[in-house]
Amino acid sequence: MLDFSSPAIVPGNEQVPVIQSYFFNEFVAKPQQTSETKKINNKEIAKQVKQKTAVAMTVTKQVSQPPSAKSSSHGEQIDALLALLHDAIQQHQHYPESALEMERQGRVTVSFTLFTDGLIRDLRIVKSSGTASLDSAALAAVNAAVPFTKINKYLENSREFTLDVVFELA
Amino acid sequence: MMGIIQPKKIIAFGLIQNKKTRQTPLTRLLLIFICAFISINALALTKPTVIPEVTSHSKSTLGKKQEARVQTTHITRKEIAESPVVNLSELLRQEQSIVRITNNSTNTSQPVLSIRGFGDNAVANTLILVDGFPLTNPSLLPPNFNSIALSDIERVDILQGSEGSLWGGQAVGGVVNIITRHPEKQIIELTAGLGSFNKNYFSAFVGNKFHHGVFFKLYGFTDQTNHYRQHNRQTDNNIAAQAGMDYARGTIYLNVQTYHDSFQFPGPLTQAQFEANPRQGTNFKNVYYLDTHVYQLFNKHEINEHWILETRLSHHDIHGDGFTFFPFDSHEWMNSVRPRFIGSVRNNKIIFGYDGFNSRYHLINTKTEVSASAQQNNLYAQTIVPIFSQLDLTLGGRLAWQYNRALQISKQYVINTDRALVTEQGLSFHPNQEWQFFLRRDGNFRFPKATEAVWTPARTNVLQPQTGVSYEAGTIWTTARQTAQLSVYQLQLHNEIAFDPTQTPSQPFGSYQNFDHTRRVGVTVTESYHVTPKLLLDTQLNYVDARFASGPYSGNMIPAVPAVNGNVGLSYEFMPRWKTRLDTLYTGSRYASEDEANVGKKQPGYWLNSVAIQYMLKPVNVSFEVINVFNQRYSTYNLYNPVSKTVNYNPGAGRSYLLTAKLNLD
Repeated sequence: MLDFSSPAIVPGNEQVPVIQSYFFNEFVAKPQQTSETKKINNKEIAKQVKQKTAVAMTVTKQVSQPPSAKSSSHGEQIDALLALLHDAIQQHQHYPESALEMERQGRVTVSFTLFTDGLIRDLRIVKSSGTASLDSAALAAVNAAVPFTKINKYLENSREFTLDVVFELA
Repeated sequence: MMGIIQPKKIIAFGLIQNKKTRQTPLTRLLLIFICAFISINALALTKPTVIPEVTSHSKSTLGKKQEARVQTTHITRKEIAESPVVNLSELLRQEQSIVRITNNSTNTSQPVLSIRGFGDNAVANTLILVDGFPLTNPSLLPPNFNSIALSDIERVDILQGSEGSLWGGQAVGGVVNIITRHPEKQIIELTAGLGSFNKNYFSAFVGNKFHHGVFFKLYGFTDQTNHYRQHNRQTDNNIAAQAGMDYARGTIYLNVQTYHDSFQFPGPLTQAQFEANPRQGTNFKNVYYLDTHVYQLFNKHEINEHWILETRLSHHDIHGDGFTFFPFDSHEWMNSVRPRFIGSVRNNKIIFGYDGFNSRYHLINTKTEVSASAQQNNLYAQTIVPIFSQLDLTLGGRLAWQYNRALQISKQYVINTDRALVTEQGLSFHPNQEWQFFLRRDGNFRFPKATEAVWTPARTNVLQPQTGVSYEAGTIWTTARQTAQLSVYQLQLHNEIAFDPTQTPSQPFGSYQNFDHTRRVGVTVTESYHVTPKLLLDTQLNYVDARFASGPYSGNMIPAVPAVNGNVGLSYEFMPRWKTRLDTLYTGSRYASEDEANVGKKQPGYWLNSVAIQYMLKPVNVSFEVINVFNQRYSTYNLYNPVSKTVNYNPGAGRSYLLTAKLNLD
């Protein structure tokens, strides 16, 4: 949920970057964090994720001002968080044997609320693939990744996330 | 973030206004607007954060692993859609070296597929499946694979080599698995074909899938031709419907099909008649009418994450009547129940199941009455074990037994039980994406078919089951530009069932017998090469040395099997939307059917050439094809007559033309 007490929305932080995903930085990343505190490996992952996936972010509004160095680092941090979550779940995904043999493929949208301790609640299917085993596998992949480690540096408050898990037959 | 920051500023502004001034209607309106704006923004902000999507690509399925252990040829949906032909036998002509199209004495107008060197008995040694349902008849009546509309075919998989352990009886030379389309969206396809010899073909195919996974498909076609010869008219009228549902844990559908076929048989020609006028008929009475009804129920259900259950129930019956030297009436039907479990245990792919068949055959004419019934049971299992990531071991086995009752041509009534046990062992090695090697041994078997069971010599009560072993090795090399396959094999059969034309007082027309041993040793090479992105060359060459290995005909060549056949195809997109295709097919020399003694004249080989030109502007595909361009005179089927010691000829078609138009609104 939106936390208006968060420093992220204190007036003055409106120097937001052009890149859409930086939006999330305003709500989940600590404004006092600087680029020096970032982990280099997370930065690299974030770059890879940006390159690999054209993620449909929820905000399309762009701001004309150029991004400041500070807010840019926030944006990279949120991308690093998303990359961290993505990679953790990716590592635990698997294609169910039964779906393979039934030649089923599809896209499952799941959502969950993530807490700062890395645990989650309210994991659920937002949009089913139409195949029970694929839906179950998507939930299992998220569950298996819990607890998400090293996220407290990026997440100050609990937050809801959604994720598409795509199953493709080779 | 302007959307985040601004609301607070505006709220603050609104509060100040409330404290210091009285609200006017305009102010109220402004506040309502502000509140609405804030709410919308707040709502937007509560949208969950989106994590980049996680993608899961499938590992190899059991089906893909099964294909990797044998030489497999695919005809894809794209190839089918772009083909100038209108039915399956014409489509398979392009794969003639692998699946040779021949005929047999039961019906010289109906094409029969032969894989791995079979002649007159090819119909009983090649298994044809449609979505896993066997397209076989209790008698030797060739299955009508032209009953499947091309519009309904997703792909054709041709598995060369014995598949007795996995697929059971008749999978001796190989298996042709026809996979039909599963509607995922609206499909509409109309086809019309007009050609020589009054050929006309019209078909309509529609299919769709709705919400909640409900789907249907429906097609009908009529195919009529006078063929090349006098008194050789053939008509096929077919209608089929399928309705089903994809649900969360599986798929279920019901398939209903009915078709009516009629054939006129012009009779064989003597050599003199063949040379004088191959189009003439010698019989103007023989005619065959067939009414076929097919009912199939399929269910694929996910038991858990590791196992699924596939169940196939089917019934088909064929009623035939007409005149073949005498008026006759025949009826045959078959029921089948085929559940199987597919799954994995610790990365080992496993399949096991039961096949049950119940069939009956009855024929009556003015001279005789015969009947046969059979109940067949099969238990089978196969596992594919990854020894390491690039090497798979395949082990399988099948136990089959069949109860037979037959009223034979000799008026004997016999009851017996046949049994067969076959096993499979194989290795498939795929060191990288380009190369694949396989080495395997598989058993095969087939029980006597009803026609064979009733048409046995008087001194022989029953025929023995045909059993055999196939040893195969091969390699497949796939790159972006080409696919090359090489396989060598040895197929040994015991008690091969075939027709022996030797005439005796008690068997004046010959009889079906068990031959001692036969052996087929062969090599198959195929290459599909994209010379340029617009020029495709595909070639196939098959050599087989098919001989009797023991008994009175030991060392003789098995009749009706050419040692060499091959084909070369060239497809070229010479300008946008225009494509041309050239095909050359060679069928080598061979002895006439039923010339087991190899005493008759060997029939010469022949070349057939065809050329097609196509215009493709989606959704329309128009093609014009000339078949047998040089009007080659040849015989598709020759029959040796041991009494007159002469060979009969059933000529193939001379030069013919086919104009096809396809409208595809997928």
